Amino acid sequence: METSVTEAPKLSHNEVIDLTIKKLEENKFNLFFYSPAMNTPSGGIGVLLKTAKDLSDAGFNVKIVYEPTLDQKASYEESVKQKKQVEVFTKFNPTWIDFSIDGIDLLPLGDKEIFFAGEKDSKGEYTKNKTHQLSVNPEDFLIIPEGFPNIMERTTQVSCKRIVLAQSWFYILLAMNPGQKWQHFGIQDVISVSDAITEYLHSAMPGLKIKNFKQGINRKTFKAPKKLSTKFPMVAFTGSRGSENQMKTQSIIKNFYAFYPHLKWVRFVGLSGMDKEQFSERLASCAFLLYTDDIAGFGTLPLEAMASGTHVVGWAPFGGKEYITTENGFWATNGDIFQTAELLGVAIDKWLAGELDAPAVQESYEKTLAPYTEEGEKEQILNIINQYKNERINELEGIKTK
Amino acid sequence: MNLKESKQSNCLVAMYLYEMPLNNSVAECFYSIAEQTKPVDVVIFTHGLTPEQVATLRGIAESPYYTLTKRAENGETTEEKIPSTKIMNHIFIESPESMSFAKIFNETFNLALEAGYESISLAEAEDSLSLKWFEMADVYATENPEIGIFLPLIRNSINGTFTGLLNEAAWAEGMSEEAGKVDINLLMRFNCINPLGAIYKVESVKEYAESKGEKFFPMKESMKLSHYYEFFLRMIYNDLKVMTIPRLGYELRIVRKENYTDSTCKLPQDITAYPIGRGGISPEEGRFWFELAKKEYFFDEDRKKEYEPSYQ
Repeated sequence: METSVTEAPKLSHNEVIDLTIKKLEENKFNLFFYSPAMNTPSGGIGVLLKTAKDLSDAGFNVKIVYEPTLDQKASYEESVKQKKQVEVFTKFNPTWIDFSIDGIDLLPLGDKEIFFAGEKDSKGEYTKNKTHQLSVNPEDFLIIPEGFPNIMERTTQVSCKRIVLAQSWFYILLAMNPGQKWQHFGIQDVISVSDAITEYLHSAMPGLKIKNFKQGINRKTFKAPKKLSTKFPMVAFTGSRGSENQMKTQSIIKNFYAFYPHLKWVRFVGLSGMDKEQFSERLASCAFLLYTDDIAGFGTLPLEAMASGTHVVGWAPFGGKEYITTENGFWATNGDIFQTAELLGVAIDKWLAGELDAPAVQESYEKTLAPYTEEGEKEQILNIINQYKNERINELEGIKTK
Repeated sequence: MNLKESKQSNCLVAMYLYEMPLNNSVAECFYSIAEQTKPVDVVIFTHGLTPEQVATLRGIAESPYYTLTKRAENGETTEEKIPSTKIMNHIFIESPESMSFAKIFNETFNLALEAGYESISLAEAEDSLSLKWFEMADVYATENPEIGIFLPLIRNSINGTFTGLLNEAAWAEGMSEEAGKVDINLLMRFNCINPLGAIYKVESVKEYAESKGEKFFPMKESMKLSHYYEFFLRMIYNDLKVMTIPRLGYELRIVRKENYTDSTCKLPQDITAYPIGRGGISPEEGRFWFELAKKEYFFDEDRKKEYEPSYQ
């Protein structure tokens, strides 16, 4: 990724700083979000884009930057056609999100014009697309997801403040060398989406300045069905953490059927391969969610289930420690297949007996959900950015020459 | 007899008591009806009981209870009677003749129709109902006005041992076209419905019941064993919607008895091993009645088919 610094007018050191401060005070700065160019649903990217949208809606200049990925098939076909090597890229177009990011620039990074798969003119020729160098000023902010230490390293020299958006504890050290810390890339500031991640970072990289950010659950999308009879004796499940996770999830299901033969008629339905609306409808139609994400950084799915009146049975991941209680789900030890299968049967038997229909159950879910509102989410991210702005102003004031 | 004067709810539950002793079991059954969160009325048919036995049953109906067995640390067991906190609105009717299950159903149906009840339900003495069953059924009925019969999930036990659930098939993967709704293809595959505890909407069932004068005969009384199977086949064939509410509503207890009578719908698994004189039926006759049900459901009227031993 090429980076450059826009040259400032020829002003004195202090005048440059004053100008930068003025831009910060007047919100005339850019908020760059680095995003992986994934066109398939991803909870983490969804949160990143939603955060970008909230800030854009609040009047900030938000730009999403991404590195286009090579489309192997389209490149091969075009290379054959043109009898020379041609690179065709995939355009980042996250149509799977349930909100609009119209009005936010999605800037492909690069230093030359490129082709995007599917973008051809009337003659069937690929149209050229501009790419952009990451051009930042001292008043700007660059927000980088936690799993991209390469981006942190490559942007070490930029003049703007860089902030890590940490949504997973699991990926934080995975892509880094042993002993390496974000501080080594000049990064001090982190936005953490869960208490667990904050706790983890304090242990793994002491000294970081961490601001906590609570995500909101969209209660218009995730809501309990109005009719009791539209809640079916079905168990929704994911298994979105790779093939091993899928096998473990299937093992829970098979063990459940073995332990509880009288419940062999209870159906399990997958939640993959659907858009947000289908996803929320499917979740709301199920009486239970089998939650088997053992490495969740926070875990919005159990909260979405609670909002949908769907009872959660599953693993209690480290990331969810701030909201997991004995009253808002049937939580098993993280990774324990047998215990989860057993709890699933206990939970379903309780539901069939009507014990989970008590208003107190949904009340406990609402109590859990209370801190995670969309309004609160917007307010928090605005507060966080304003705090960063003020901190940046103070920093700049501090480097003025006397 | 018209139940209009004693009517206090929209649902009439029927029981038939014809043998003693059954004090504790019937007391628990009455208790489970009395304690319903949505009250129902109860008609108790009796036959062949002595006046003393009827008096005992009346006393239990007036003050239902269930017996809590406690085990002390020294291993001694004591029993405590937990009385119902509510009154069971009930009426006793002495039947001049022994009643088959189909007849109990039809008599109850006509009483309900006459007194303006919206629905009926049947229970048996050894069994009990979930205390919220009628309330839950009412919620489902309100939300699904197109459904004519609501089945409970039944917890089934034989001689005190839990053996599984009944009425659950409609919810299983690939069993019915619409999850939870019993359809003709499912029912033709096997008799997967138990009629106890179900809520039958009177007006819906009436449409496909044979009528003679002012009386209706939803269940064919001439049919042995398969009367309720034929009934459900006929209702569903005529597009009456039948749904299983995915909640435990009824606990069915099968207790080994010396004699089998057609007053119960609890068919012993080894009925073919029972001597004919004690209610036993040959395997051929058993097959006959269930095969007959699969043919007779096209007809609303009871064509009074009979089993002939030569049938192959």
